[in-house]
Amino acid sequence: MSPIVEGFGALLDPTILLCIGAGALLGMLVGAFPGVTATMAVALASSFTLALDPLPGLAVLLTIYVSSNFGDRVPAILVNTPGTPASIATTFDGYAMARKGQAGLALTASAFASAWGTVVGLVLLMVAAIPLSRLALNFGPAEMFALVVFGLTMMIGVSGGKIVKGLMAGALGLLLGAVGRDPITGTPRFTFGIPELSDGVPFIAAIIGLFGIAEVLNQILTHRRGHKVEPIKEFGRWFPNKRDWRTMLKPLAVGSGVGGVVGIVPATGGDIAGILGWDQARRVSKRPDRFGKGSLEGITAADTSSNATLGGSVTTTLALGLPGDSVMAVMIGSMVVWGIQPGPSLFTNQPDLVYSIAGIMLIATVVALLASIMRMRGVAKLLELPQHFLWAVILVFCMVGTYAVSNNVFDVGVMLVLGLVGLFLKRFGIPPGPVVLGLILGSLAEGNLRRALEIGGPANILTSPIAVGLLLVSLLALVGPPVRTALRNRRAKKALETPAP
Amino acid sequence: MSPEAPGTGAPSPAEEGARSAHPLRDLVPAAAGAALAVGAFVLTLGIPVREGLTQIGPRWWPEVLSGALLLLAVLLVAGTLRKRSAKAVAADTDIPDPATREGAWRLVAMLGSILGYGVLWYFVDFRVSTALLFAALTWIGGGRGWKALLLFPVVVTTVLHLLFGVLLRVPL
Repeated sequence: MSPIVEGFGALLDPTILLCIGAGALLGMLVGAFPGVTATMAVALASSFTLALDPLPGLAVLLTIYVSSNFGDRVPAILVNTPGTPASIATTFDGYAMARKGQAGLALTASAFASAWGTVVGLVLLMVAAIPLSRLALNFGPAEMFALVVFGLTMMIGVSGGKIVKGLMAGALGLLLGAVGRDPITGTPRFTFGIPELSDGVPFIAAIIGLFGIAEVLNQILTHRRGHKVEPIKEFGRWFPNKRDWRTMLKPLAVGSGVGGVVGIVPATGGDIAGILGWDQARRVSKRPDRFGKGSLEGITAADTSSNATLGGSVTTTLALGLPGDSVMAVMIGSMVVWGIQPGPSLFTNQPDLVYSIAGIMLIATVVALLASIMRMRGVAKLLELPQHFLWAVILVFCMVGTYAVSNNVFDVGVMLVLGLVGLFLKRFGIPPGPVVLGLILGSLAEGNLRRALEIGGPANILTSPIAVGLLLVSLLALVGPPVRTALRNRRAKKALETPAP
Repeated sequence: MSPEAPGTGAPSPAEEGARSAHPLRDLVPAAAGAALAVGAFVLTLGIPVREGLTQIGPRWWPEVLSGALLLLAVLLVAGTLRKRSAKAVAADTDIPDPATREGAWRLVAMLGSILGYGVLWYFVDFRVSTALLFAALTWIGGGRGWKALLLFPVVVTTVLHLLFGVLLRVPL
């Protein structure tokens, strides 16, 4: 049977459709609550989906991933607060439209743009995943090591000009990844005689701690009573008319292109793509002056671009074994526990999985789109729910969920400790993404580097064009931003020093 | 990649500058990183090495990482001092909201409740101890009244028990 028929056919199981429904509900809700990110929700859901079979489990996680990218637009448009980082660029024009009495149009246009973007990303996944994984199958230890370095540096390179702190976070993650048995000789390292640590720091507990607990603890620490923005109550017209659709065409195309490319780059997500897509659409627009003041083009480009990254992220994750974004970093943890090892051999051994995953995401997109266009006044009501209910639910669900993974209190302890570590990182501007990536990819990086060096010494790496190319791009990603900033500062300084004529 | 994004309720540039310029924001993580690097290096010396098994032993990778972390901590300190001497203000794009005194007490009280819950769980049934924890967390968070302190804990504990205890058969 062809992998396409087999892959899509596997989705006819009612359990999977039920899982997609549950995931869509969860995803829309977590997206709509500012402060609960998709990464956090997927990390939390990982704990109870591990009891399911891989495909239904993936259906829940992937649907949360897709639908949270619809739900998060609601607070971005109605209260000027992104529901998740992926909707940062939605606030640029969404809130301005809502203030002009066009909240309904903004919500609907955003939902259609998000759906279009996701579908474009999925086409990319179906077309590129298998060829990419076949190419990566030829990689030896040197190339695999370089690929891991590439993924890590991409995540650090996009962490907002904090290269040294990002590198420190990556080193911390790699050190955490060194806990447990040495990947070559099996010698125990940093286990302190604790049997639970011989398999390494538990993934799920670490991820829930660093993303879920840390975020809630930070909100608890900084929340001010009575500090709340009133949501928009006037929605106006809901559906775009013919003229609106014509206006949306160009930004849909620009956003699809930008998001598709950004999605393929490891570790870059919808937040960056949304801002880039918005900026590119402004550059090519006939009315750039309207951007940021309630432009339909602006919101369309931002949301198309941000959602077009989803397919690319999944492609990179599954075909190369490198997380496409932070949600995918979390999902890799679950997949490993299910016995699905993302990487070049996955699609060669199970080509039908690509189509099952694409099918799940496609159904999730349709469900999320339908939910989004059914007048979101109900979801808007959720924004009025007091924070203390949310904190209590997340804290207790995180604890019980982590316990449920291995029925072990030790994991809960690890999660709480890493939650406090995550809070420290957050307070001092250190990105948590590279820590998780380092933890997940640590043993892969070490194993392949040591194998490469044992086989032929440093020459083994330096004579491989792919490895050298990837390492050079990694170096550029690290050195590029500070050099650009230094040059910009120098130019600004010169301009200040030059006396006005 | 810095389009002049319209504001989303962020603090004023002056406020941001003042907060981002604080050297402790860099020096504290640098000190923590250096301490971790030294600690990890010392622990690495305790890893047993079997001669002749491989050219590169199990100590090598953690040693490299400890060295790299120490070097990065030094770089962070050097960068901070250089910025201070040049009176430059770092363009930190991810400045967290300031912590409040009330928030700090809330955090300590919630962490204390969680630790207390850990002990209580050993002696009291999951449903009772979890409902008590929910009530405590909600009260500390500012929830008042029977709906917040009684109805909400009972409903959410029931959902948790049904999901994990009954459906997923986790021994709670």
